[in-house]
Amino acid sequence: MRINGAWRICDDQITRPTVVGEIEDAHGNWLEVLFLADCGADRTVFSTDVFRALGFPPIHSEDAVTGIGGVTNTFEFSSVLRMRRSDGVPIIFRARFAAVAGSSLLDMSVLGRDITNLFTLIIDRPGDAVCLLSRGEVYQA
Amino acid sequence: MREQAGERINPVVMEIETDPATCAEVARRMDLFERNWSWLEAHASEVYSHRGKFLCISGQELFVGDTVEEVLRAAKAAHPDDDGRFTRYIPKEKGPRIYAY
Repeated sequence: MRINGAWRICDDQITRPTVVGEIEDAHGNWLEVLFLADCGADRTVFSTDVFRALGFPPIHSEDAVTGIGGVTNTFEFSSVLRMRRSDGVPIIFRARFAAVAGSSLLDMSVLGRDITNLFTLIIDRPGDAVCLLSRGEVYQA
Repeated sequence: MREQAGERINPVVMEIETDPATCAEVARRMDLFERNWSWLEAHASEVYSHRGKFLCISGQELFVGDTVEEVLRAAKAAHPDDDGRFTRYIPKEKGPRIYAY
C-alpha cells in the first residue's frame, strides 16, 4: 500500500512535505485538508481554521500539546479521516483527533505519528517524493 | 483489514474502503481539491498577500475574511457544488517554522 503526498510551496515560499486527506465534519460532510507530514509530531493535530470549519463543539481536551511555543490547549473530537491510496482506494482512519485552540498557534494541520506509525514515512526532497508505505513496500527514489 | 497505531497517545483504527461509489466520490472530491490547489499556486502572490487572514479556495476562486466561517459561507454560496474547497490561515509573520507537536 502506498499513499502519495507531495512537496508544496507554502505562504512563505518554503516548500514543505504534505499529504492530502479529507475529514468528516459534524454534519457528515467531508472537508479537504492539507497536512504537513511531520515525523516530529507525536500525534495528528488540526489547525484552528479546519477545526472551526468542521463544526464540532469546542470540547477541551485533558491533553495539551507541547512544542516550541510552549504548552497549548487543544480541543478534541472523534471523526474519520480518509486518504487516497495510489490506486485510488480510500484508506480510513478512525480516531479521536486534536485541534489547537488558536489560529496563530498552528497555520497548517500536522499528520503525526499516531497515523504515520502505521507506515514507513518517506520524506525525500532530492527525489521529490513524499509517501506513506505499508510494511513490506520498498521505496526507490 | 484493520490495524491500530498510536496506542498510548491516540488509538487509531485503519480500514480500507471497499464501496465503489465511495471510492469514486473521494476521487472526485480530491480532484477538485487539486484543481483548487493548482489555482492557488498560479495565484500564490495574490493569495498569500492576505497576512493574518483566513481564506478559502473554491471553484478556483479566492475568498478572504477575518473568520473561517465567513470565508466558508461566501465560498459555499458562490460554488455550492465544489466540495473540494479548502481553508487556510495565513500567518502574519513569514519565516522558518518548527512544528513538532
